[in-house]
Amino acid sequence: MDILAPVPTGAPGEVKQEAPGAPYRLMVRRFLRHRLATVSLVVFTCLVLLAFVGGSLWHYSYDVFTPDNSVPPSLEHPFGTDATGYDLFAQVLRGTQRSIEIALLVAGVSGAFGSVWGAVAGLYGGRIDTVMMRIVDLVLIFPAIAVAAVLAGNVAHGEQSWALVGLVLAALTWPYVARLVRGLVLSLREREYVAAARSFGASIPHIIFRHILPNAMGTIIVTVTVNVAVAILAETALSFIGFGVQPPDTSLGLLVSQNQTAITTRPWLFYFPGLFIVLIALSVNFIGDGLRDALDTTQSGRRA
Amino acid sequence: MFAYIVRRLLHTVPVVIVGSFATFLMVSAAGDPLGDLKAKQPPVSPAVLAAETHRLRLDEPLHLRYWHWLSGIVRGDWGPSVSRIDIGHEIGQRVLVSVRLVAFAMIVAVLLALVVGLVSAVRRYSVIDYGFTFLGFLMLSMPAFWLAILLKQQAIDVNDAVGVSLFYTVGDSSIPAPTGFADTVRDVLGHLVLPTIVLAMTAFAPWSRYVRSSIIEVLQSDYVRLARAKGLGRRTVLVRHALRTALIPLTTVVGLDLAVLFSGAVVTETVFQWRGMGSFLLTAVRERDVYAVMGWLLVVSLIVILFNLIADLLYAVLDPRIRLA
Repeated sequence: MDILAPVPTGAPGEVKQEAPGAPYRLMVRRFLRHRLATVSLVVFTCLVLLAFVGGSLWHYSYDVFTPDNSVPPSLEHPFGTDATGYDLFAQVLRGTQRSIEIALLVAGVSGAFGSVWGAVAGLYGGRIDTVMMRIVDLVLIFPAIAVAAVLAGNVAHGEQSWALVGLVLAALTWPYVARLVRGLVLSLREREYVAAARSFGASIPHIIFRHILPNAMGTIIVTVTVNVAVAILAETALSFIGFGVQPPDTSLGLLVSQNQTAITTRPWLFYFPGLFIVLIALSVNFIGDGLRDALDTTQSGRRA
Repeated sequence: MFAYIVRRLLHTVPVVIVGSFATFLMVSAAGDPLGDLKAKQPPVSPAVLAAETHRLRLDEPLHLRYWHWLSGIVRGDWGPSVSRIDIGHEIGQRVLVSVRLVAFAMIVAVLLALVVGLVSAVRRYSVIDYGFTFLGFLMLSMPAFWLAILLKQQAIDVNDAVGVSLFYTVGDSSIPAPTGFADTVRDVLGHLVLPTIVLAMTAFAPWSRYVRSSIIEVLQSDYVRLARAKGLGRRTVLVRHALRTALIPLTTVVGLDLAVLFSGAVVTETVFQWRGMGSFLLTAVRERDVYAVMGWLLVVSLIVILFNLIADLLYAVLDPRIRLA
């Protein structure tokens, strides 16, 4: 498994005339060649801007009643309002913000922790490896939603509940990263440059952080990106069954859950939050696919 | 083979013990099971509280509570429940309902993955391939609960339009249950249709990608070229050589994803109001019913472990190079 090697050797003709920094330019060009990924990157950036900036600019807030009850989508309320007068557009923006925040937290924490865990297990090998990977198997046996419901359902209250939901989901996602990184490390550790570093007497942490992880970075980035989509679906599912983000705060899963009975009478309440979930997850998945083309050709997708 | 099975099962014993102890700590720490009782207005008498504390073994230290649970399970005693249900009996009634759903969804998803993967591999870079790829990504990004509600509503609309109950949208079987074997089977299968579609659609997408890439790899191999050179038909080569080889990685992936399928089943069952393991778990978590949650996790994780064992045995059947000893 060549990780960074394909970049200079994969397309020798293209690299020849490039100046320093060429590998990165080549990666960017490969990513841009994936048209759906490029479009998705634009869509996702727009969604992030809309949620994080637009939410505060919009003239309604997600937690303030408007005088209009149950009005269908209009210029005043693009996504309509619910029975109590909440502006759904403001709520969807807030939910999108929460979902993206949680997903980034999950992907970041599980990516960092899982990478180090997998790298240590793969590099040390032997009994340490066995014990560490048994722990990974252990976490993977349990259906994530059950453990998440137990953990999040009873701790997640108040202002910071979204962060707790994120940490709980990260605690259930890192084993996937750890297993993947361990596999990579097992092949990378036989490389000459690692052997050379060892012969110089380099310490194991030095080898992990300076030699192994940088070379595994392409695959890790792709996995972490796909995990963002996985985390968004997990968070919305958890909020849907009532153990995720708690009111008065809101999330896209919670909005679908609260509005599922309105599907026939006020369909906009049900469709818009759901469409936003699909839109976010789909664009992130396509970005991941584009990154896979650009950085790494060895891995394929996973779902939680 | 038999020695292998026994050894594998023995290996899982420490995993189950360590895992159950960890979850026991976690569930016990998650909240006070008597919280609702203590918050009752007017307050219940201290004598009642003391009796409940004793009944739920809350007066014992944590490690003793775990020990009593573990030794109880071995004897068939599932422990006391906050809401005074018979945990073992309740799980026994519900587990088949959920396993039925997960098994059907898994079979449908595997068939779907094989067909979609095979077609996209053979017609690589065609419109069909791109179409299936997009469908796969769409399903990968689809929240199961949203798809479930959507499908349920469509089914209700169809029922209304036709004027007959074409689709069952609520429950895992009719109440009262129909009499006679054939009617019962038809009734149960009818209720399975929509939830199975939801679960299978959300699960098959990554599997079909595995099938596609492994078939593409096989089709470029020497032995497939040899088989074609010998004069075997395209179809024979595809089914006997390519598909069989593609099944090998698929068994592992499906085995690993089984826990994920159970997670999906919890959500799907909620939407279709099944009396399965899903609602049992959600009620138990809400009531901080420690022993009920423990029972749920024990049963589901044993099913997952057992299925992974079967997947490994299948692996050896599919790939003659692998010897289990």
